[in-house]
Amino acid sequence: MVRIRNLHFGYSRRVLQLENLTLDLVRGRIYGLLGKNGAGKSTLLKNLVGLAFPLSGTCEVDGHAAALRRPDTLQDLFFLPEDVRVPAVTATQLARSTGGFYPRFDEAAFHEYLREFDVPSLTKLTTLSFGQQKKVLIAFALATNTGLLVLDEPTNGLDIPSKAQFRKLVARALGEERCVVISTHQVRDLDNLIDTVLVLHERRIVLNEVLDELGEFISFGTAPAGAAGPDVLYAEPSVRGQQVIRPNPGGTYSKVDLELLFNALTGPDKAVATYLTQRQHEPVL
Amino acid sequence: MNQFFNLSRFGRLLRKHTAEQLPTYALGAAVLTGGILVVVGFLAYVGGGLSHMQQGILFTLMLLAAGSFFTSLVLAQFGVGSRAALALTLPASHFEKFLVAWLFSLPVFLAVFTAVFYLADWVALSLSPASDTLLNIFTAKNAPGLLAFFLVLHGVALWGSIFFTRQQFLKTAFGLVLLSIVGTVVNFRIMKALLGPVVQAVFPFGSVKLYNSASVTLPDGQEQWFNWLPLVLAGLLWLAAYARLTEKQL
Repeated sequence: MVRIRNLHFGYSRRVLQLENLTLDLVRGRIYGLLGKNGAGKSTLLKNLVGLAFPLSGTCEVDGHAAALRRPDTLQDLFFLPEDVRVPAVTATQLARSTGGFYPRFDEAAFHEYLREFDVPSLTKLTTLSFGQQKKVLIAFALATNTGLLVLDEPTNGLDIPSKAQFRKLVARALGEERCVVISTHQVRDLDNLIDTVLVLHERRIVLNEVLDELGEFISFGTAPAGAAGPDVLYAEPSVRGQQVIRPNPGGTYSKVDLELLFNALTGPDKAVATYLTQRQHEPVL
Repeated sequence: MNQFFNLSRFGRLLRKHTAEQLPTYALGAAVLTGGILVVVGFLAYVGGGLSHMQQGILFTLMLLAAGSFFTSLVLAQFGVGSRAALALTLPASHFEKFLVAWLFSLPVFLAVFTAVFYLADWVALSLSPASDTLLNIFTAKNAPGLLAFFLVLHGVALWGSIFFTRQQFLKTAFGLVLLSIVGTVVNFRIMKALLGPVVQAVFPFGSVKLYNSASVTLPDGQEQWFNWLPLVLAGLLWLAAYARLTEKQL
């Protein structure tokens, strides 16, 4: 679906935000893009949808350069930016005026999502709160049924029940033909939602792993304070002693603690990153 | 489906733009009508009426001011922020998006402005019996020249509306004034260097006036080519605005 090769990007040539980035995104997956504030998550997403052009390298969606913004490409992708600005129309009018641009737009599903979000469909969007406006656009984004759905910090501005609702709706809207990319710096918002994690750090993708496979390769657990053991790849203090990441030689599935993993990959200690890189280079036989 | 222009996609875009912008445009037209009515009515009241010449001057000044202001905002939705992200990723071609802005800011604006001006002018003149009759702008001898100048100004404002991301009208107006001053001065210096101190006055794309009451002009046959200059300039500026839209990044 998305093919990025050796992508370099920066708003000036001297200060790069993305460097030599190579990445493939496939249909049927929900990707969680994690990174610190200012890591370049939004910049990467803009490159994906053709709102920023690579300085060198390529970024293609279904075989066409995203930067061309071809109508055929755009009608199979929807990008929801972090801050939303809605037109002065009702949700129903929005569906009528804009839904037609997306061949698989499902108006009934749009209204169903609005009901689940508890947002009125006959009130002018500009009179709604920021959170409600965002819910309308999330509902619209899901109802477009585009092959590529890119959501930049979608949970910002949503209240706690709405975040749970959001996770439920996205999980329901995913099909084999759909690729969803969600960026966030609030790691817990993606718990139980994503199936593949991407971590962007220091201008590069330092992790691109399916969570189920990751949970069979490293294990997440706790250890008493000050007694983590020599096999521990990463440890950080918690109220129950220490949270740790260890190698998982037995391959028994361990639920991935996204926040701990993210801290391990973006902190000064590179043991987890090195361990995962070695694993990727191990010979099959 | 054609990636450059498709009639049904363009129609959908036109309907969407109209549905979303109509309340704003209607409010703008109402404000414009009120503004013209106040100015025309005040001048007719103070002067005891309005001549054709006064009506023509008012029409010209207001058309240029309102037209350039409106045009300088027409591509602003593609400029910056989330509004631009949604507008640029809307599944329509750059040309279709550009054409919608062009249509609303040129033919639609000209039609609405002319109707609004005539309405306000008619009301003001009917209250001031000493005035001339209503001006017929379509038969006025300066109408082609005004239209040509308006086209160039429209091109400048349209380009400014996509080139600048904030305060498009002010920045475009400032740039235009600066460019006009620099262009005139540089042109004068070059002509003075070529022809010597006899040069009294010269304007870009115009004849040279000398101190000995003579002037240097192109032969009539060649000078007529300058009639096409505003159209060529406007075309180039429209092309520049379109190109800027295709390469717009956020």
